[in-house]
Amino acid sequence: MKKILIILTILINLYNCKAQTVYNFGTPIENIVDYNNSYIKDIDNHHDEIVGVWKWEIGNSFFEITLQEFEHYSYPSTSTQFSDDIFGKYKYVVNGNTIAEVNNINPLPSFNLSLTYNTPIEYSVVIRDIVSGKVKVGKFRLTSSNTANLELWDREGVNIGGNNSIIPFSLPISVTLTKQ
Amino acid sequence: MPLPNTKVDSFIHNHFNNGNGTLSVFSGSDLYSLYELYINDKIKDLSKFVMVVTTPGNNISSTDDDTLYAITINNGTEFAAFGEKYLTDPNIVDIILYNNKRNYISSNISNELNEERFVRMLQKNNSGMSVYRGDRTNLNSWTKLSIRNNYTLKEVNCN
Repeated sequence: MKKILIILTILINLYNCKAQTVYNFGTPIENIVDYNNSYIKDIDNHHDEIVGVWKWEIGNSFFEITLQEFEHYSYPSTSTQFSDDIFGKYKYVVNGNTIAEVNNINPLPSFNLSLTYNTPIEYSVVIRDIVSGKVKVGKFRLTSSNTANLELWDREGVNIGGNNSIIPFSLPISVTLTKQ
Repeated sequence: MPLPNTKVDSFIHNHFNNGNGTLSVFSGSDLYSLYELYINDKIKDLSKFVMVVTTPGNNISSTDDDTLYAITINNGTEFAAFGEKYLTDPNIVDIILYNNKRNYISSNISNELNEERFVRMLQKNNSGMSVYRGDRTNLNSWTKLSIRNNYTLKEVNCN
């Protein structure tokens, strides 16, 4: 009887621990059949080219972003849709005056900068301006191994009940960044 | 945009081409707004509520790729759970559901791919919502869209 209980316990645990299917970045979406129990993994280490500090600078003005990888990340924590994702922080200084500065890198929900892999040279961006609370979306495109263009614009659609700040977006919306 | 003062029967809006393409399906901010109406008790009758979007497509000089879609809520319990999980912040919708590497939805891909992926996203996440494609020449002809197990699009004429 004791052996039967042990075997049953092992079988139940094995069932509960069903392995996630791992897919590489860039896997065609129609091939991702295990949608809700999968891990989209940076097997080819594309994130190595992105993580770190990137900076645009002219005189006493600069915009600096710092990017960090969060491996095997999911949101909310109960979700079984995992992936390797990038979140970041930024600092914007104009003529020596700090306009906006984020000190810590946090994932959702208290994120301020998110980059998501589209292709080896293009990432989707969502950035929250801590001054106005406004958000813009955009693209981060690698133009060489150490330079990238960051372009931001307003997201589409209606925004009922959301941010109604009259403070304008304070961050630069089009810059060329150099990896430090 | 503030919440309406009274409860609403339905809601229609359009997307513009902002110079970076036009999203041909409902945006993350649209879904967030729908949930804001819901949790603030601004929907008159959930079983009859319809939200509609029209878009000019990416070719603004032609109407050939204009799109027209509607969503309804077919399961209030599922919609409430989906909303609590993903729709409390438009950024969560954009980052987790639209920029998702297993189902990327964007103004930079075709209308057909966005349609298929939008339907799949709602279905795979048990959103409690149904999606309909409208005839862009009028509002009288609608097709209900869903995704089969093999990921192909299933279309059922509603007329």
